[in-house]
Order: sequence, then structure tokens, then C-alpha cells
Amino acid sequence: MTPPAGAGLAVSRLTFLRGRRAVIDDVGFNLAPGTLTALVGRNGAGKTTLFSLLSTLLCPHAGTIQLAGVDAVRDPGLARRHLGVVFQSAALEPRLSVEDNLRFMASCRGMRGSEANAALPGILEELDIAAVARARIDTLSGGERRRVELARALVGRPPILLLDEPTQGLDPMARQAFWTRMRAQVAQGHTVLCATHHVEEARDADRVLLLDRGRLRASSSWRSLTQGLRGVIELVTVDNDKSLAWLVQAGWRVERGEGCLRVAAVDVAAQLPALLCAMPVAVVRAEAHPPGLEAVLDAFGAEAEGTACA
Amino acid sequence: MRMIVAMIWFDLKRFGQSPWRILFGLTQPLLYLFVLGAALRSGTYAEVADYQAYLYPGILGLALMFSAVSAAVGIVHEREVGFFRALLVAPVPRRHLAVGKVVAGAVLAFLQTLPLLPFAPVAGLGLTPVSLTQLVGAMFLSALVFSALGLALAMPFRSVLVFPVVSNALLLPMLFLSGALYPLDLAPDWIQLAARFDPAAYGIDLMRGAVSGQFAIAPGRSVLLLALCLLVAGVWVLARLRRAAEQ
Ligand SMILES: Nc1ncnc2c1ncn2[C@@H]1O[C@H](COP(=O)(O)OP(=O)(O)OP(=O)(O)O)[C@@H](O)[C@H]1O
Ligand SMILES: [Mg+2]
Repeated sequence: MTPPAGAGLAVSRLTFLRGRRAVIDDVGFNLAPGTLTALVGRNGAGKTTLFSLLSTLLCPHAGTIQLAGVDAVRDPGLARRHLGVVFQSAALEPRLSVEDNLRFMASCRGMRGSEANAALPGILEELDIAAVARARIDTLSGGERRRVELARALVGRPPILLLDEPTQGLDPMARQAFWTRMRAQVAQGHTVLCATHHVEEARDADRVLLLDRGRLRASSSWRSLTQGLRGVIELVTVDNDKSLAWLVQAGWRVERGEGCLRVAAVDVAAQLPALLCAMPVAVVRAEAHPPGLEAVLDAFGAEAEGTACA
Repeated sequence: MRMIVAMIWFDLKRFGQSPWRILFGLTQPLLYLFVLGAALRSGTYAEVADYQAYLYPGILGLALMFSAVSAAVGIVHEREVGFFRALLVAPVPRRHLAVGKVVAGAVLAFLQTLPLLPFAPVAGLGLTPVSLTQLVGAMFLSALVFSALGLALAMPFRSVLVFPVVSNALLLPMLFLSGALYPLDLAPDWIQLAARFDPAAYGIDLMRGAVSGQFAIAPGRSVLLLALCLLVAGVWVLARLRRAAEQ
């Protein structure tokens, strides 16, 4: 194992126990600089725990963490300089203003007042919170607070960003804007690891890490994770009963939905036109749903149980 | 240094959000000084030359002690609202964090006690520039010690509701054993013995010596013991910060 060059993140054989249970179990991965990686897993899979380990809040029982080439277990103080963190839950002083909070973070990063003056307006602008800069945190809406959390992580432009469900509570537009920003950061060589329960975010990432009960089950692109997994085609036809009989006969996996038929198929986008051409009944409406996060988690969860027995 | 100043400034700003705290913080010491002081002046402690003048430095000590511990609640509050985590992952060396927190608490306690100084003449004490300087020095040193002790106590707590229950259980004995309210040499032996382990006793004696010129304990000894206490509590806070994590 060679430490990565630049501002990457490398983890190897990482283990963390709570009592006798391994909440993080022998996890290893390597994130190159300039990549965006999504971390997915069910509730309680260990995502937040993994973030706590990476952000030096917890000390692992075994394994190593390299942040931008710095051993984060041996020298957490130095490693923290390379880190920007968004926690799953709130981490701001509610009784002070947005500006006070961000300014304080800037001084914690060793920035002078003049440097903070130069850097903060840009960050506030990008996250669209300039208008509330003087408002106390406890007077902001949930989404606004979340954006301030993001702003706090961006102060000082640390090369590695650890984001634990950063977009929870953001409206779709704000989420879109946030991802555009993250993409720009990544293009500049930043390394971003982002826990998420949103399929669009996982799909957007360069790579997806799948955590299940503390173990890393998969680490690849969304495309290859979903390869071979069935999506669903929803059909509404003029005669659903007749369609159902025909689909079953033709060997499709079908079930009845509410006023529609649900056809399970691999690579739904490619199958849909062929299916529509072959259908003997007039189709009123057709929708293709590629496999979502649930399907991926199911696929790997099932596999996990299989290997656990072996 | 910039980080430490920023931390003190941050705590001051937060304190500034509830200015009425200063007002209410003053009522307790003033009650002790003018109600308790007046009541005991003619009774039990009639033999103490001027009981209110005797009591005054003790009341400064009391104000410092209570406000330093209530400043230490700040760190419990920070844990509760999650802000503490942001502080822990920020690239601030832990020793700066410890120094910043201790000094910030001391500054808050000191500022909350300052409004009591104008009451010195009312209590029958004339302050000269020299005695005032000594008094302020003794006050600040005591504030540092109380702040460090308060933080050391507060570190394990996660709820601002639980901490005051525990801290009060320690503040009152510290106050009663300190000689703040009565001269220790009139007290039973066991109290005098216990008072030796009370940092407040040394701080208050320093303050009383500054205003009256009479020290019950050699001032050099008091300063040394207070400094030692500050160091031990500070190192304890630092050690807890180093181990501090979310859980
Ligand atoms: N402070 C704690 N004490 C004991 N157990 C904990 C603690 N925090 C988390 N756990 C346990 O560790 C496991 C992993 O939790 P973690 O918070 O890492 O999950 P997660 O993947 O982030 O879940 P979510 O998607 O709900 O955020 C869970 O089983 C949880 O119950
Ligand atoms: Mg989580």
C-alpha cells in the first residue's frame, strides 16, 4: 500500500468496535484527488461512524487512515488542516449569527481578519445565504442552517471534504446548486466523500462505496453497481388484464400495480421501446424506472448474508 | 495566539447575547454583602472589626467562583448543540483549545465581577491605586483557577440540565470552607484543615490581603498554590480534550 500523492484519502483495514460489535469492520478504500465518491448504506450501516473516524473524532481499534498523505491516527492535529466536515447533525452556535460562526471557523483555520473578509462573501454568495449573514442561526430555516453548515466546511478551502448527508433538508434547486459547487471543487482537485440516501447523488458520483453492517460490500461506479439489476417498467394499457396475460405468456416478470402493470427488467431504458412495439394492446402510458438505491442495497445485502453463512 | 483570542471573543459575544445575566449575577453577591453582612455585623461576628469590610473580598471570590462555573457550562452547551464537534475537527491545537477555554471563562467571570468594585467604599473599604492593582491581579488569578476547575468538572457532562446540580454540590462547600464568610481562625480545627485544600481560600486571602494589607497565608504561598492548581486543572482539561470525541 503506497500513500496516495496529493490530497487523496486512503483507508486500510479500518476497524472500530462498540463493545464487542465491529461497527466498522476491516474497511479499506482509496480515493484519488479530484474525485467525488458517494457512501451509501442503510440506516445504522456505519456511515457516520466511518466519518467520525476519518475526521479524527474517534480513534480506530485497528487500521490506518491517510489524509493528504498524513497519518490521521498518529498525527490527527496535522490531518485536521486538510479536512472540511459537514456533520449529519447540527454543529453551529445557535445563538450567534451566520457571520460570527463562519468568522470563528476562519480564525480556527488560522486565517487573518482580512483573509476572512476576502473569502467569506464568496462562500456566502455561492450558497445563497448572503442575505441572512447577520441573522442568528436559531432564526434560520432548516435548509438555510444546512447551507451554513456547508459554508463552514468550505471556509479555508480544505482539500478533503467529508460530507455526511449534506443536502438533507435542501430544496431541489439548492441541492442542484450545491452539487454544481461540489463538482467545481472536485474539478480543482478536491477529494469529496459524501454519505447519501439519494439515488441521484450516488449516480452523479465518480464512485460509490457501499457499506453494510460495517463492511464495505462494493466500491465501483453506479453503472457497474446496477449492471444486471432489474428496474421496473410501469405500463398503463387500455386492457390491463389482457396485457398481463400476454406479458406472462411472453416470459416477462410482471406484477399488478395500482391501475398499472409493473414489469421487472434489466436495462429498462433499452427494453422499453422493444416492449412497446411488441405489445398487442394499446399502451396509454409507459414509464421506465432504472434500479434505485434500494435495489442496489438489496442486491448486496442479500449477497452479504450468503457470504456470512459460508 | 489568534485562535485563542478568537475563542475568547466568540465566548464574549455569546455572553453578550444575554446581558441580563450580568444583572442577575450581581444580585446574589450583593445580597450576601448587604443582607448577610448587615445581619451578622452586630451578632455573631461583632468581634471582627468591620464585618462588611471583612466580607467584601469574600463576596468578590464568591462572584468569581459562581460566574466562572456558569461560564464553564458553555462547553456543555456546545456539546449539546453539536458545536463542540466542529471545534474538535477544526485545526486548532488542543492546547490552544484548553488555554482559550480557560482564559475565556476567566475573562467572563472577571467582567461579571468588576461591577462589584464600586461597592468597596460602601462596604467601608478605601482602595488606593496600589491596592486596587493588587486586588485586580488576585481576582484575575482566582478567576483563571475557578475557570479551569469549572471546565475540568464540566468536561464529562453532556446536558446543561444535569451539570449545575453537580457543580452546586461542589461550589457551596468550596465557598463555606474558603473563609469568605467568616474568619477561618475562629472555625473548628476540622474546617481549618479542610480549608487547606480549598483553592478558594487562597484566592480570597490574596484579595483580602490586597485590600486590608493583612494576609492570613503568606501571599507567595497562595500565588504558588493557585498557580499549581491552575496547572493541574488545565492539564486535566487538556487531557480530556485530547480524548474528547463525540461519544
Ligand atoms: N454513540 C453511540 N453509542 C453506541 N452505539 C452507537 C453510537 N452511535 C452509533 N452507534 C451504532 O453504530 C452503528 C452505526 O451507526 P452510524 O451512525 O454510523 O450509522 P449510519 O450509517 O450513519 O446511519 P444513518 O443512515 O441512520 O445515518 C449503529 O448500529 C448505531 O446504533
Ligand atoms: Mg449517519
